Amino acid sequence: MNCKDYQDKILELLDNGIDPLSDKSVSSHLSECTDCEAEYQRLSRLFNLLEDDKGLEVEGSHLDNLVVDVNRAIDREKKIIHFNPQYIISFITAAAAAIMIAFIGTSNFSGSGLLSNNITWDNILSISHYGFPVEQIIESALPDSTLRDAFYSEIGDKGLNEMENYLIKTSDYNNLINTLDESELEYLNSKIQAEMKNIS
Amino acid sequence: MNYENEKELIKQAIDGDRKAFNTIVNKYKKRVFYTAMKMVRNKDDAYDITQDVFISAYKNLGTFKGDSSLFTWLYRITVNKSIKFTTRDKYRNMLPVNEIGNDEKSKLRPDMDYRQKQLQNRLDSAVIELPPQQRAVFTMRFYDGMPHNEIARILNRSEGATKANYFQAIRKLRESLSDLFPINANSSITDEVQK
Repeated sequence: MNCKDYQDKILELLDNGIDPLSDKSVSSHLSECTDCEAEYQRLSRLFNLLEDDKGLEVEGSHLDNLVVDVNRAIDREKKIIHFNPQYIISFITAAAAAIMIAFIGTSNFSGSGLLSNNITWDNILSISHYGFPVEQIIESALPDSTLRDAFYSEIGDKGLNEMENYLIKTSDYNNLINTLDESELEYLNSKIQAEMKNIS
Repeated sequence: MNYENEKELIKQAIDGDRKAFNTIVNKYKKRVFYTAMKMVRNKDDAYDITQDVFISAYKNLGTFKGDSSLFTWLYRITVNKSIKFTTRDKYRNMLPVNEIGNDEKSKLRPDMDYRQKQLQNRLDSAVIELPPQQRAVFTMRFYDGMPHNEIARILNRSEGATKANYFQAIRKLRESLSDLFPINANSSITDEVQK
């Protein structure tokens, strides 16, 4: 055996938790070879250092939130519809319209009743073919021009601006998803998937 | 709910029983975190990987065939995710990492004194500088005490190749930390770190 063989053997013995000095041939070689003796010392000390590093204790509290975080992430992923680029715009505009209803429903504008009583999910799906401008959404939500005019006059410019800001603010994708409740999302999802079937 | 055994627990989790799934998370989270931590040497990243492992497990539990233990299955996911994480450009750009983990280690090892922390940082840096495959094999073998044939099976490589990886890793660590191991010196390692 040459020095390389001995050094390999020393490493192998240390890896198996055996003191290389307990091996007669190694021990004998080390007493004669300063290079291998030095290598033995370095490796022994490295293994001692690594042994100390094994003792990482994970404090229980550190992982306390893990179950909650994992469950949250799973629920969030469940909510997210895996988008096809073809219908991401459709989804966002449809979701924006859904939020518009929510806005109208909670606002003080007298036109809220008018809109929420006349808008339907089918209207929302037709909205999905439009862009973001609030006028187009309202036009699609209220195709009847008399109703639409009544709505405009009741909410006024101020209401229209607020609605537009609301739509812009909530147009961020994640915000949209988080704003919708389970049933809205489920309905929207099924409608969009049905629409996609038609497209394809 | 009492689960007769792990198979029953897995079955319940596959059927959508979140409580059963959470039992699995609680049972294995420390071991998964430990392995990830040894691979990436950063508490926050290890936490993210641990979380990611269990999300993947939740989504893919139906594909678990039961031909290995659940932990082995989770372990494989952990190692693969950790390897993937450490091959990302963002992670590689973090090198050198001489300052990495100082605060993190304090939180995890409040018993450590200053010199020990320095030593720990040197070791972390040396481990992080190992190529991902070598680091994975080294972690699996040294910290998790896994036999070489099992490591080879998990990484889908030959035993000879993983064994060679392991010894290369040890030799690289020895080189990186050679200044800590002065020959014919009676001084302790922590004394060398102080210099």
